Amino acid sequence: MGAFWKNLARLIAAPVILLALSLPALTADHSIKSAYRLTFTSIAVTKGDFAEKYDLAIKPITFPTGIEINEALLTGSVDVGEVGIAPLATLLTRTSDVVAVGVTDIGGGRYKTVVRKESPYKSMDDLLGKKVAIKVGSGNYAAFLTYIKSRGWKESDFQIVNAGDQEAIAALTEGSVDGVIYWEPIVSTLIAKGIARPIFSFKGVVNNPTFLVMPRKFVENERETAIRFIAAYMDTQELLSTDVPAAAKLVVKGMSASGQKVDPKVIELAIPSVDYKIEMGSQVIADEKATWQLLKDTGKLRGDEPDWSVAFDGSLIEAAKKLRGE
Amino acid sequence: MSEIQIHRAGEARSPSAEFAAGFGHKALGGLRFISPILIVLALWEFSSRAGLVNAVLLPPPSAIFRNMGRLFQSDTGFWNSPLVGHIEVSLMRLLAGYGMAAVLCTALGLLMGINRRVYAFFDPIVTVIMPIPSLAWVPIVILWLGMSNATIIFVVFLTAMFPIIYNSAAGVRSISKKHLWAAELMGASRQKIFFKVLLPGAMPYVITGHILAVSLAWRALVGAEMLAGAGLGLGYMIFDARTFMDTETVYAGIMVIAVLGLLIEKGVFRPLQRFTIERWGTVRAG
Repeated sequence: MGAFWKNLARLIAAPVILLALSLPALTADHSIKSAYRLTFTSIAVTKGDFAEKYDLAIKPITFPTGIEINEALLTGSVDVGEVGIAPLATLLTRTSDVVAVGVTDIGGGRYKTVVRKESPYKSMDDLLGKKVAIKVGSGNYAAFLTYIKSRGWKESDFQIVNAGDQEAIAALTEGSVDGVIYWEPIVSTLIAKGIARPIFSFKGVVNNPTFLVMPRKFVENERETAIRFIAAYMDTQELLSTDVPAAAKLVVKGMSASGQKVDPKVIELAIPSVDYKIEMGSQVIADEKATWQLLKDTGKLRGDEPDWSVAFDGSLIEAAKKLRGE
Repeated sequence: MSEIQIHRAGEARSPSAEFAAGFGHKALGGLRFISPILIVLALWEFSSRAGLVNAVLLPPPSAIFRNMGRLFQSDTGFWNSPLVGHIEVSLMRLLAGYGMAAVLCTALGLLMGINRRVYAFFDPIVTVIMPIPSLAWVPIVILWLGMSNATIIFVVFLTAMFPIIYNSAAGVRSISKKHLWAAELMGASRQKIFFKVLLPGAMPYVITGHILAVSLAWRALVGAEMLAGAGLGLGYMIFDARTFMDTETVYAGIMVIAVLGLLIEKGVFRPLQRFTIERWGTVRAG
């Protein structure tokens, strides 16, 4: 075959292959724009094949934290996002156009304080007056506020550096901060790379849930798609709860696609740090209300108390359970 | 000369009439400047209140001004208010970064203009580094200096240095050789040539470079504070408010930045221009 024909064949083959690869997304009856970030659930649901089972195509859009996801939800750029307890309090204070439809995971164990491996710090007490990187306004920030309140400390007792995930990693790597308070798998990544060691876990300090949040209009107009997504999400949670090694492999695969190389063993240890339960029980709602009050008391929130009666919608979970055959 | 012109030339205005005319002229100018802004604000207020735009994303200006008032309040007085504190820190950072650039880079720029070897050495460096957006430096500078004031000041310095160097060098190089020869022929010393010919001749360029430097540095400062503000500064205030969807504070910060930028340009550089290059006659008074 001549060079001309070879090139022609390649030219024709390339779009055919691309089309074939994107076929699941094109053929799926339902599609959802999902905010993607570095959390076990977000990685697993996007990188696994859970959605295909429900004839659903997930279109991931990457965000560093729940704070940016809040803005995306408000502007309708995404149909669903994982939002921590504090960003949800912020979001609900400013708008009633969104609704929490489920819990991604629950437990303070996902938040850890890490310091540089060779640093002398051994406890949170040692970090008083030191530079600590944290994402202000995020779930870990709410956990931090709860903890320092219980210890009788003030935020100003630390030098808080408001940092996104990548900045926090860079800052600790270079030693421009003394500690980082972040969530899994970011802290495990720092530990696995030999940069950091943990000195504190927020397990038992808080029981912060992270929520699945959707724009109210999406829930109303695309209810069937929303239910399918919740069902796929519940399958993901089941894997994370029951088959940790398989879930870890999936997470590592997802992380390596984003350029993070982590040992699956590290992820295996980190996955059980929280519970993966979708239900929004009364305790979960009470935790959200308490966080709202905490942020309000510290002067962070502007606006009136949200109408809690419409802030949570558990009906999608019930419909998803039926879809899963429960 | 026409009759009208003769009549006008012969008119003698009293000082109070001249003052009134001058005041009227300035007031009219001010009105012309502010009218479009007021129209935009009115349309914005209407759109936001009528629900044409999302009031969280674009709160009405009245809410922004009310919030600005709140930010200017404190139990211990106006000067201790949160907004004044942020403005103070931002201006100090601007002053430090720009001040360093003004001193070092004006000297380097003039030297580049005077000395061919210095120019040949620094010109490629300036040409290569100048197009890099100042905010692209922030992650690197954070690694060098940490998340501190030093990082922000250094980014401001980096931003301000290029327009100053480039314009100072261009100013000296633009002076006609005939002027230099004339001064030399009249027996002027090198020092005299520098101070009496080169410096005044280059001054329009130097001042333009400084105006550009401050305006660029102001923008870079706000951006750098968003990334490495560590608790204070207008950029940090905006970034922090965004975290909690406090868009009224975000817009208040943006408005303060705009007003301060305008004040710096009109209040500092305009008079500087008037008292130097316009007075020396090196540029036309506008």
